[in-house]
Amino acid sequence: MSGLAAQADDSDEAALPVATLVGRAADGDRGAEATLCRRFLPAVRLFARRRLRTPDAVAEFSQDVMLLFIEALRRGTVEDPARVGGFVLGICRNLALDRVRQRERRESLWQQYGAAWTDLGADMPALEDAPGYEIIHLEDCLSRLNQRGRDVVRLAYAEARSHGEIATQLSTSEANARVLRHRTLHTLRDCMTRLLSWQATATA
Amino acid sequence: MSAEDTAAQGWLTALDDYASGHTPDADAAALEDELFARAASPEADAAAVFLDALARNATWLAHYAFSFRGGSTRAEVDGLLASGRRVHYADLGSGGVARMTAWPEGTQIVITRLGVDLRGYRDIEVDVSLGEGPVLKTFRGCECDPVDGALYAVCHEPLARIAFGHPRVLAKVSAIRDAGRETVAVVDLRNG
Repeated sequence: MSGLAAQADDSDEAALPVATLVGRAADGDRGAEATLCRRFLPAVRLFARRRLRTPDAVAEFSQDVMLLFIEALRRGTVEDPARVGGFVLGICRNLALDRVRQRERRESLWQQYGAAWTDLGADMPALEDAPGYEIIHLEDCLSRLNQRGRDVVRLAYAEARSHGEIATQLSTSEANARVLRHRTLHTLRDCMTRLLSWQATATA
Repeated sequence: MSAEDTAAQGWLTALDDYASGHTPDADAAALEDELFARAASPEADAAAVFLDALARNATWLAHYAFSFRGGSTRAEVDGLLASGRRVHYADLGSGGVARMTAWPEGTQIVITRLGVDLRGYRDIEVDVSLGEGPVLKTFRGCECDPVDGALYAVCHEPLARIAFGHPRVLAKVSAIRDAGRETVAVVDLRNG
């Protein structure tokens, strides 16, 4: 598995079916609740990235979804636990449809369930702190790309630029920008599934 | 490539198109259904986890311009040295045997300078090996300082600690001038 996937849940509950986890969460099992949240968080963030550009907006939307999800788990209002994926997607779609109402509701949700979210969300180092293995692994893989590849990663993933904007920056066509983006993505993915280059020979 | 690998690549590409807004709304709804169904599985959706972490980690690194560059300029290095961050600077000379100086606990960024003159060259690459072993990695698309042609390599300390933790690192700098690729310098770095 990718080094980037190292954030995956490795608790005993990680292998349980969602319906079991939903039941346990409703009974007050905070570990089951956290496992469910971790499981859905990448999907929720991807949903948000399709619609929002800035990292802060993506983070805020994701937090709101997870707070509502935690609320539903604790109240036992997930109607069909086996289809909890559709339930979380429903929260995402409803929130995306009504951001104004959500903003007002956000404050009270924060007060009630904010502590549960804080534990899940604080997995990135502060800028003044030392980066963890995943980040330096990416830094190492970036150094193996050519400058065009590094530019694509920065524009596409750090700055969330569209294909059109990337094309303009790199003086190429939009179709070619998409090809470059995918090619670079797969190269990076391949690099990230291996050991950090400086460690490769040491363990060979 | 196995059918499983091809399917995994296809899913990663589809998710990337989705997140970037390339996928039309009419197709996005079905993809969202699959995305959240996969998320419910005990086995993590590796593509979704990878894309999510890539965006967040790239955003973190983007606060440091050097992470997305194949070398820094002297002016950028001076900016880092004056930034208040704990920076370790080491001059490795212009080739031959060199020694990496130890840096104090709490160092955040490590900068090494190689005093070559790469002005007039293009496609600068640095092949790194551990002594006489095979090439471990190649730094591609390196940039030299436009004023004196030197190479400045900058990275975060945890990465430098792993890189310079080896007793011997051989770095071969090559670049293209006129018709062919030339070896410009070889640094034999001894640590410890």
